[in-house]
Amino acid sequence: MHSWKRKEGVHSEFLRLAVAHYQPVASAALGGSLFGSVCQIAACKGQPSQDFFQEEFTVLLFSCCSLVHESISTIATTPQLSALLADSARIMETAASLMNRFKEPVDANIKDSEGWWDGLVDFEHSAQERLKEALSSFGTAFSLLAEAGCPGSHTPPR
Amino acid sequence: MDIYHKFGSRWFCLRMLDSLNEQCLVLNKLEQQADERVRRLLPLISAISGTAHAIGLLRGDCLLNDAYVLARLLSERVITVCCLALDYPTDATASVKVQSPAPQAAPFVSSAMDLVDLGKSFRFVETYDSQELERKLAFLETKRGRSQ
Repeated sequence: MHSWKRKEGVHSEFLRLAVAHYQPVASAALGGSLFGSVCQIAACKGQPSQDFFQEEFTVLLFSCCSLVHESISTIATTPQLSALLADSARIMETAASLMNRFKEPVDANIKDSEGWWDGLVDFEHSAQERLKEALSSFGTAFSLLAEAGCPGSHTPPR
Repeated sequence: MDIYHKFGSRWFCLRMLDSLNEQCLVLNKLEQQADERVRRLLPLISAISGTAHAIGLLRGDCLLNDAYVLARLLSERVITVCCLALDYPTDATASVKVQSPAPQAAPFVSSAMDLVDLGKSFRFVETYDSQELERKLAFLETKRGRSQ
């Protein structure tokens, strides 16, 4: 089965694919003309679902991530920039392993018809974004405490 | 809990967005390096970083078409930066510059309709030149194939 795992060698096929792939929907590109407006009205009859946008954006963001990694790996070839290249490769690995999960089906029992789960995801992401910077200065202290085994003694009993 | 998220969920998309943002941060760190080659490519590197960031922002409003357009721009910029980083021969560009006629003065616009017509000629002028694309990709193929 095909995998997103990065292969050694030339990536011109990937770049060719990237250029060929990104085409806006024709009805939106024609927006402004009479014909375009008619097309858009016709297209509005069946609004794509939220899942459709998330799927499309996930693939789009992944390929953008690959493109940025491609540029970094081409530029950062000197030994002084090897740390940045390693960082970029690590991020790319994370994104690729996440992308590989699209093949794994979710249990049929899990349903989110009310959208609560998505709401929680938004809250979680927003909280992470807000707290990440505020807590970053305590990062070293936390890791030192964790190494020393101190946080375990302060956790409330279950 | 992550195992409960399926492909196409918002969580999945946000994680991918995080990866792209992290790649942009690496690109920003690259910009700050005192490397001569990096300095030469600095405007284009900034442009790639900005375009990638903009694509991420468009996700919030579900502006998929706009994101596609920017992604197309991003791919063109990445191909260009890769070519320039590998010393893409610019003699063709130089010869074009030599052969091109002297720049002419902008035509005088007498009415609003003329202005609209003039605007039409400016639109989509910078669409991708497929011949140049093939040249660039062939160049990358040769260079990267040799280096790896």
